[in-house]
Amino acid sequence: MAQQDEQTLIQQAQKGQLDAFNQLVLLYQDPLYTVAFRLMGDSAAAMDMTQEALITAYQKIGSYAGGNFGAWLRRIVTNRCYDELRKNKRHRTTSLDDMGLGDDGIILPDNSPSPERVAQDNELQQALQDCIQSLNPDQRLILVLSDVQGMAYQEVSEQTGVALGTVKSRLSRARLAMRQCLMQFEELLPAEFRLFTKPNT
Amino acid sequence: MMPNFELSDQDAEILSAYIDNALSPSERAALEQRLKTEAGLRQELADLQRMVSALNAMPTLKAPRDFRLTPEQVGQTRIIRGGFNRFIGLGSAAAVFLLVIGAGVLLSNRPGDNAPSVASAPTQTAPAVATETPTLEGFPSDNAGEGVDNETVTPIAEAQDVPPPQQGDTALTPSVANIGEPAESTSDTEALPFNIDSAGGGAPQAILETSSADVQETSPTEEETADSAVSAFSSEMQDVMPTNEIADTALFAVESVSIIEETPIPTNDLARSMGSMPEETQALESESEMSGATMMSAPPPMPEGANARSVPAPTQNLLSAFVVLVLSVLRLFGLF
Repeated sequence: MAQQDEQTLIQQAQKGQLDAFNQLVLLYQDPLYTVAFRLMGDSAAAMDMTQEALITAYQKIGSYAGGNFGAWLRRIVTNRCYDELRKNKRHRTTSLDDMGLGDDGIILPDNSPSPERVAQDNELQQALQDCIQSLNPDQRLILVLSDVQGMAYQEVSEQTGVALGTVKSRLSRARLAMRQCLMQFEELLPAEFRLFTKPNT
Repeated sequence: MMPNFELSDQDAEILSAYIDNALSPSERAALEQRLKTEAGLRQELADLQRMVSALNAMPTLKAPRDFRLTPEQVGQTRIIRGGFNRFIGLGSAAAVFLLVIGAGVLLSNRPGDNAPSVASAPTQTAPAVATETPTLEGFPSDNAGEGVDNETVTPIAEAQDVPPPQQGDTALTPSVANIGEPAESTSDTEALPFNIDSAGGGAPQAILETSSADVQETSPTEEETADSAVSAFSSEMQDVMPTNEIADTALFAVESVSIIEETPIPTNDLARSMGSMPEETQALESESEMSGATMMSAPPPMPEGANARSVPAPTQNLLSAFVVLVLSVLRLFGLF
C-alpha cells in the first residue's frame, strides 16, 4: 500500500471511519500479532493482546501525530503485552523441563521449503521462543524489540521509556540468558542448528 | 571443544555492543585486540552472534485470525474500558447522597418543624439566646430592677461559655418531643406570648425567678459581673455590627425593661414575619412548654441591631454546605 494511501486511511480512521481503520489492521496485523506472540509466548494470549491493542489504537488514533504508523501500532501492542506480563503471571514461565517442541504460531510460507527444513526451522524457532519465555519481562521486552524486531538501541529506549544505558545492559544480560538456555537444546536440534559451544564439564 | 570460559558481565556487555556496532572506535579497537589473543572470548562472541542472527531471522507469523474490529467490539470496549459504567455508578451514588442531604436540609427548614440545628452550630446559636434574655427582664416585676444585670447577662455569658453539648441537649429535647406533633407545637408557640401577657404582674414574677434559677443551674459563670458579660456580648456582636450599634445593643440588654414596656406584646409575630424566628427559639419554647415554668426562652423582641444576628444561621450553614457539596461533586466529575 502506498504511503499516501496509508495516510488517507489514517485520516479517515481519525474521523471515526472504522472501515478505514480495519484496512490498516489488515496491513499490520501479522507483524503486530508476531511481536505479541514473541512477548506472550502462546497464541491465545497473543491474540488477546493484539485485539485489545488494536481496539485501544482505534480509540486513541486521534493522538497519533504522524511518523511511522506501524511503529505506533507496535508500541501499543508491546506496551499492552508488557503491562500484562507485569500485571499477572498468567503467561507461561517456561522451565527447562517443560520445553516441548510445539508450535503456537503459524510460520509464513518460505519459498516452498522442504518439509524437513520446515520441521527443523520449527524446532529452532520453538527453542528460541521457549528461551525467550524464560526471560523476565524486562529482559524479554528489550530482547524482542532489539533482536527480533531489529530496533536500534535508541529506538528501543524511546519505545519503552527505558534509559539507553539500561537498554544496553538489559540486552546484554538477556542475550547471555538466552545463550545459556539454548545450550540445553543442543541435542534436540539438528546438527546445523547446534550453534553454541557447550562448556566442558 | 573449547575450554570453559567464564564471561564476565562487563565483557558480555562489550561483546553485545560490539555485535550491534555500538562501541566507540577506541573500545572497538581494544576489544578486537583482545579477541586476537583470547580464544574463549572469541568463541563467546561467535555464539552470541549466531544467536542474535537466529533471533533476527525469526519469521513473521501469520495472524491466526482476522483482527479487524467490529462496531460492537469498539462499542463494548468503550463501555467496559471507558469507565462509562463507573461514571454512571458513581453519579448515581452521588445523586442519592445529595438527595439525602438535600432532603435533610429541606426537612430541617420546614416552618412547622421544631427540629433545631443548634447542636451543629452552637456559636451562631449563642447570640440568639442572648437576645432572648432582655425580653424576660421586661416583664413587670418589682425585682426587675434588682438583679437585672446578673439575670440579664448571665445567660449571655452562658451562651458563649456553655459547651456545645449543653446547647444541643437543650435544643434537641423539645425537638424530639415535638417531632410527632408539629402542628400542636406551633400553635402552642404562637399562643405563648398571649399567655405571658395575660398572666398579669404576679405570674411573670414567679416566672422570672424560676428562670433565674434555671439559668443558674446551667450556667457555670453565675458569678460573672454584668460588665464582663456585657463585654462578652459586645465582643460577640462585634463581627456583625458597628461598634456604636454594639453599644446600643448592650445598652438594650441592660435597659430592656423599658423596651418591653413600650412593646407589651413581644414581637414574636414580627420575628416570624421577618424570617428571623430561629428554630432554636421554637425549640426552647417547646422546652418551656414541657417544663411548665421556664419562660427564659420566650421569644424576644428583636432589637434592630440584633436582627441581622438572628437570621437562622444554622439553616444558612446547611444550605452553604449543601452548595459546597454539590460543587465539589461536580468538580469531582469534571463538570465544574
